Amino acid sequence: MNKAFSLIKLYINSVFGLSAILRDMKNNKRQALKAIGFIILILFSFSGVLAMFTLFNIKMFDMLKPTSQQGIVVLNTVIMASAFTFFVGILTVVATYFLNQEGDIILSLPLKSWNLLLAKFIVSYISELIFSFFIMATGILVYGIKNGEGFLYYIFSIIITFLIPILPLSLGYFLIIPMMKFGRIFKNKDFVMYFSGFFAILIGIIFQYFSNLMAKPDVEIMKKITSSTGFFDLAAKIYYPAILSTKALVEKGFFIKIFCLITFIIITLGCFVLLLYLMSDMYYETLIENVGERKRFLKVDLKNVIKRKNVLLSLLSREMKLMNREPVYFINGPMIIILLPVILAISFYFQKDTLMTQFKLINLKAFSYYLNLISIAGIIFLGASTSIASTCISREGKSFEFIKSLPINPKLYVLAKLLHSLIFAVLASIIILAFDIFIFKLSLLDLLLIFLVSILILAVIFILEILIELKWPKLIWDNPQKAIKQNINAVVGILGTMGFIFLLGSLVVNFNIRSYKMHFILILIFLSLLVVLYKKIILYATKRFYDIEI
Amino acid sequence: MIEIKNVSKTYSKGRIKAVKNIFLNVEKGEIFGFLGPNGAGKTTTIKMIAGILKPDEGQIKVNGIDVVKDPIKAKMQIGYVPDNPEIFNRLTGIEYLNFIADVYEVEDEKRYKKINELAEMFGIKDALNSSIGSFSHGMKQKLIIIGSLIHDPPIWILDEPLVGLDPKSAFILKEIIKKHAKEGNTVFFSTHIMEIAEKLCDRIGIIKKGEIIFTGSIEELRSLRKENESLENLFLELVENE
Repeated sequence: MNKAFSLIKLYINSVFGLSAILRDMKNNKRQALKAIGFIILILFSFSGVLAMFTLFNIKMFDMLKPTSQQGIVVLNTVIMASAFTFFVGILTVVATYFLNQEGDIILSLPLKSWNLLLAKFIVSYISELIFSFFIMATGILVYGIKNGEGFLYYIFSIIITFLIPILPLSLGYFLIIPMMKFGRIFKNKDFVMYFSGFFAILIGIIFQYFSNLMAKPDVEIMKKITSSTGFFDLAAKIYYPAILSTKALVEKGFFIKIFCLITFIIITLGCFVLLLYLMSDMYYETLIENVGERKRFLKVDLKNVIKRKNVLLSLLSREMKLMNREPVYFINGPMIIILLPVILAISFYFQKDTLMTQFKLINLKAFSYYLNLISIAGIIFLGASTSIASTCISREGKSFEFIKSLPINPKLYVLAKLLHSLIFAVLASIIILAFDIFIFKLSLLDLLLIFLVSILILAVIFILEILIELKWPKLIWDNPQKAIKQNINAVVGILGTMGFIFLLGSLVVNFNIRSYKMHFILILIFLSLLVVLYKKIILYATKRFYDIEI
Repeated sequence: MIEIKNVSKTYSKGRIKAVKNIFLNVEKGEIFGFLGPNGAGKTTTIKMIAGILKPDEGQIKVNGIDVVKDPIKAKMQIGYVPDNPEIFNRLTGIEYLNFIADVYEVEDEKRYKKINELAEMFGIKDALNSSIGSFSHGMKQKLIIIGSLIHDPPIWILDEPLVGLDPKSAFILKEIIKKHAKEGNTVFFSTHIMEIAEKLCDRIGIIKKGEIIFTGSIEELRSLRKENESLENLFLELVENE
């Protein structure tokens, strides 16, 4: 058991870097503050969703109270947390398969197969617990406070919250391990990473569907989801532990509460022990097969593939290949351009009747104007969400040293990064403009203005992001997730852009700006900014490129 | 040629002195072996010559060009093999070589000839269309070596180049090093192994705790040893004694 604990400790430190933060708090306070600030930023970015969950639960409680059905608030929360843990858990399980924490070294150590599975399970469990904790808190607190629950309710809630991720996560492992073992295609790391990316889209779409329901919880929707054939009833039938944990919290009698809680604990821990007992050996085998995986080489006639390119184009082509071929980068970067519009389109589909009625109320000119502004905001948000510019130096990692050894002009190096970001910004604008053309039939002048304003603003945002990257690149990492998903520059880039869009929107609303003159003013401002910042970045890059040391 | 004048480098805001006021000259056509224990300052020195690290003080010139003042021109003279070949795993071998050749502005005909010849010698021609990530450590090392020679660099710098190579490839690399120097180019490489330096180098430098404690030919080093003492023992004595 000691070996298993040592491995768990190692994995937790490697994934969450807790001991590094504690060490930094003693020796490098600035670094520790950076890490804590990053955690706060991440939490802040989820605050909107949590507020929405809380509001939904409050409204739901008020609607269900007259029929004494308010316990459904807790059932809803438990189902949401379990479903979230199950679906996101599958992604985590798949991702952790390839994080290579095992490496050849861990696999060569005298560890039992269940040690490896337990340690990996605990790491996934902690990630899931953090998220399910917040989801649970929204419903548990709303029900507890509004229903005037006592001490026992909160104690039981804490126990259940800690147990909730175990069962769905175990089911996730029961599903994934055989797939890794017997599905030939699942042995291809890249395929699995792309597959999980598309799976994430599916989750996003389902999440979007429920968000739309939650945004306006009217009586009709409530009836739909709480009736005997409704969503909750169906979900509870499929996943009975949700009923058990809900009863442990909302039933009046003490003994029935205790009975439900103990049954829930037995089912949860039983499933977990069964997982370790039945799947550990198979899990170990899949790890060994993954480490041993080698690709076959593809022959080629050199004459056909040796071609000289202009240095800038060569740098740009390298940039794009390295980003698009690394699943972690692609899924969290360029794929956002496809993912977000799909979610947007589905959101539109679900609300099309309401939206279309509202559109008809607005006169045509004002409608085009506001749609024009919304399109600009959409393109800016999509373009910045790819994180191409905001992680452009960090993604190089330790290879940056090798780049420095080559006779590369820093001006071309930075220009390639800017062009890379702009290419995907143009792609984002094409997608949004396609909506404007085919659904809303905007005029050519509108389309041209949308394109010009958004690309100019994005170019300025990209330069600012590259400047930040040049100043504070995150070059030391052991897996590419850290360069894009755990990079504070990426979070600052996205939040900064959102802040900018909010500011622009507030200006339009507060000053009731309804003239296209604003577009021309924006073009003028951002064109001037672009010229100034472009000169600045070239000057800065020429010096800073040689100063960055790992 | 490489000229290193009074070069120092510190890490951790000056707390760790990695290289202390070193002077070194490596001539054209010379094979220079750079020896020293782990953490002695070999890689730091090499990275400074390759323009990866900036010296805190002093000056480094390659073929008369200052590496800090005129980095692009200086780097055009250099071919560099890092100690760790883990780079650009998502590119294919040929994409990597094309990229390096583009950066060094090598014409199609010349790059084809060079890639074809060297890939054939190292036995990785059939793998060039596959992703670098699927290569073994040794294959990656060979690919980087080919890339570093694609522009016939007047100055070839290699950091522990033989690590990870099989005996046949190590032999081929040693032959290429000799040929490259014979053509009038400078070769500067680091190694831990005295035997390699003994067989390959015209001159060697030994660095210890950031200071150069010996430069000269193998013969000059031999003259320092006691009777019946091997060069390896002498090297160990030099790097261990204060």
